[in-house]
Order: sequence, then structure tokens, then C-alpha cells
Amino acid sequence: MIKIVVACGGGIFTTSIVTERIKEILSQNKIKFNITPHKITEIASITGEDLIVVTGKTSATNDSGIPVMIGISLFTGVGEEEFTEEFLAKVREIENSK
Amino acid sequence: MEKMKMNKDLIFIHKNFRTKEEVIANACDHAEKAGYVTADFKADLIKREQTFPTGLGTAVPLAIPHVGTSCTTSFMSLTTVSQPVDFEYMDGTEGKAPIEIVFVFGIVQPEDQVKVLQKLSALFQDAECLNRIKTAQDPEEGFSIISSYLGDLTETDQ
Repeated sequence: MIKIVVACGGGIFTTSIVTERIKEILSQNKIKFNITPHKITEIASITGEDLIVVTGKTSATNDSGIPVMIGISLFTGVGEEEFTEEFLAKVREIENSK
Repeated sequence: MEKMKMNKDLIFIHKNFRTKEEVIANACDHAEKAGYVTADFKADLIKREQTFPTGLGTAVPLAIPHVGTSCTTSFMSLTTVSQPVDFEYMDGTEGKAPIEIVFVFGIVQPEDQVKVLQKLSALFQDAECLNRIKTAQDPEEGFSIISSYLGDLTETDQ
């Protein structure tokens, strides 16, 4: 099961939309998941998760080395296909290494 | 489930605001008067916009300043401006975003509002609808464009 964090500036609007999109993408691809919302300010200190998707531009990285992807295109629709491919590839890579 | 409020007196058409702070402050003052937010909402929102900007390079550039704090009733407002106002881009693109439509809104429970937020995101990708909003002549027209798009996901106090 992949554990994903979705983070945005306010923790509400874009987080909700992107969370729903990620659920759709993973369900369509039959990948089990757990998604937790966070604020971008909390990214550095997150532990115990596999992947962080942020919906705002940030140079923040995670102190434990959890990969961070910028998922704004899931919200705006622009570049959504490329992001989805990259995202799925990353998820599969993480699951395979477990 | 709480529906998002949208009233004609939270719709501001072709206003002469110069800065994003003016746009945001105007919407917040009206929302406070309507009893939807507390006095802290305006400061929360302006601060949030400065650290995590909400400008989008959509067909008609728009911004979506919003926070989930200091809000007691979920609401949405619409502002169109007579000349573009500078915001910054949400995705970090360099430079100023010349914004023409601003949706200031407050959300109490994100889980309750997922559907209306999804519809709103769809609206952002609808160039024809955005152009109709941009050229709306008065609050009634702005109100009817948005409410016909969002359907019964919103409700009005009026």
C-alpha cells in the first residue's frame, strides 16, 4: 500500500481536488493507497510516508528523504497527462522496492 | 451537509482596484458584514496570499485567495476588475500574474465542499465561461453565470 501526503498552502482547496484525482488515478490502476493532507509548511518534518505531492511551488524538501512531486497540473489540468505518467512510475518504483 | 453561500452582494463587477490587497480586503469586509467570517479572516487571507500565492494562468487569468481559518460559514465571492491587478503565480512562475477575475472564498469543512470545488476547478478550464464572467456587466449577470455553473451546490441568503 502506498502512503501519500498531499500538501498545499492552505491545506484545503487544492489539497481536496488533488486528493480526489490521486484517488481516481490509483483506483483505476488498482493500487492500494492511503492519503493524508498536510500543509506545505509541514513537509520537511513528515516521516513514515512514501511520497509527497505538493500543489504549490516550493523548494521545501523532506528531512527523511521522502520524494516530493509538484502536482499542480492535477488541479489546473495543464500537463496532467505527463504528471500522471510520472506519478504512476514513481508509485510503482516505490512499491516494487518495498 | 453545509452548502457554500453565494450572494449578489458578494459579487463585485469591473471594480477599479489597484492592488491584490484591495481586492481581498473588499471581499473580506463584505463577508465579515454578512457574518460569514471573523475579523481575523482578512489578515489570514492577505498573509496566505503572500506566502502561497493563488494566481493561475488560465484562459482569463484568475486568482483564488482562500483560507480555512476564521471562517464560520463557507462562502464564495467574485470580483472582476476594470484593469488587471498583479498577483503572483501559484506554481511559482516568475513575474507578476495580471489577474482579471478573483474568487475570494472561505471554507469551513473541506470534506463538505469537495464537489463544489471540483466544479469550480472545471470552470477554470472553461474559457468560454471565464470570458462571460469577465465581460459580465453587473452583479446579477455575474451571479447567474456562476450559479448556473455550480447548480445547487451553492445556496443564497437572498
